[in-house]
Amino acid sequence: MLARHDGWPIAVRQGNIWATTFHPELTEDPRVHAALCRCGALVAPASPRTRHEQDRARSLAAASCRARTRARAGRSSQMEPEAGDRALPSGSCRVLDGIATASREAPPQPTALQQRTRDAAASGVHRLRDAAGDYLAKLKAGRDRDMTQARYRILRDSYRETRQRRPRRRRHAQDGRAAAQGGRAPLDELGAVLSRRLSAAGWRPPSHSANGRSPRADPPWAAHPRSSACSRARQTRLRSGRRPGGILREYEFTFVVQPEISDEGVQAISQRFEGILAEPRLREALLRGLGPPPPRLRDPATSRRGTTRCSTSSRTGR
Amino acid sequence: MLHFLSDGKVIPELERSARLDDSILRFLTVLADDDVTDVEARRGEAVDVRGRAQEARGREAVRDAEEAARAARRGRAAG
Repeated sequence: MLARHDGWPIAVRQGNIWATTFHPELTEDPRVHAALCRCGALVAPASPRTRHEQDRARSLAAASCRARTRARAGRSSQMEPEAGDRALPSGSCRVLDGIATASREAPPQPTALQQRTRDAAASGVHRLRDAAGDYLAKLKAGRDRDMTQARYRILRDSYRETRQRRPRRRRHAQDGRAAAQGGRAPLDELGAVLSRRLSAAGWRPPSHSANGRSPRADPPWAAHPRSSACSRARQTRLRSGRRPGGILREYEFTFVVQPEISDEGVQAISQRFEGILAEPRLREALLRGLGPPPPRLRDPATSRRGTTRCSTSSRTGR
Repeated sequence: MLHFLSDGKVIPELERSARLDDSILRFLTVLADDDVTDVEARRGEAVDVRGRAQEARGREAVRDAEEAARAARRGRAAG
């Protein structure tokens, strides 16, 4: 319980869920917003992928709280940007305009990946440029009611953070800048070095091979049964010459019936089993036949031990 | 006893049918050959085995008939 009024609870909290009997955003007291900002209850539970979005939402909430505090203090008519932000928007606009112009005038990148990376960077630059322009306009107007200052700061910080977190993209952007300036990108230099070394070793591209066939079309290792280039059917043919329908095994199914069962009953059981083997959905049974007759057992009438006998489909008598 | 060629998928259905039949006391499935390639030769062999089994059944029927006739003659002689 967070607060009481005349002995009754008016604000409670459980975990990151808050409940109040009043509208804290309509009061002049910013303590509820400040407490929310401090505990981070405005955002979802922490997860590594959304941590950046949480930081952004928390910054927005904190900026909103500060703006409300200033408004209540009667200072909302005049913008009070922080000391470091006073000269930033105009300078940022100039720098970002230069970057956007350079990116528009730069020639296409040598690879699709580099082109995509440069487009993504240009998109971020444009967004930052728009936010900076909005903020500059608001500064000139002297008001900042829709949080353009906070948006500009958040975008600026996220842009810086992105640049620091992704050194590979920065490298690609550097490659793109080098290509735009007429120089050779490091990747191109690496390709040139590799080509020189391969040529010195006697390697030729597939189109220049002596027999006119590309080695990738049918490499010698593709004929090996264990090669991934060899298909399953081809493996089957190579292994034993059997057809590609599957591996066939020979089974022997023996069953013992009760002694009361007549020969006709044994025949019926055998025919039922053969019917199971001949079902269309069990097409695996390609061959069915009767095995050789087993040795005749003793007659149950004269046997002293057993009362059962082995009946097979190939036998007719006792 | 049944001999058949399969890749093994038919075995569960066959054993389930044998398990449901009350007249079958025991059953056993044995893998006789793990790699069968001569399917046609085995098909011909199965036809031969089937023919020999029919011949054996015929001979057994003839023998049973002869035994029955002999028993009848003995009965008439004793009578």
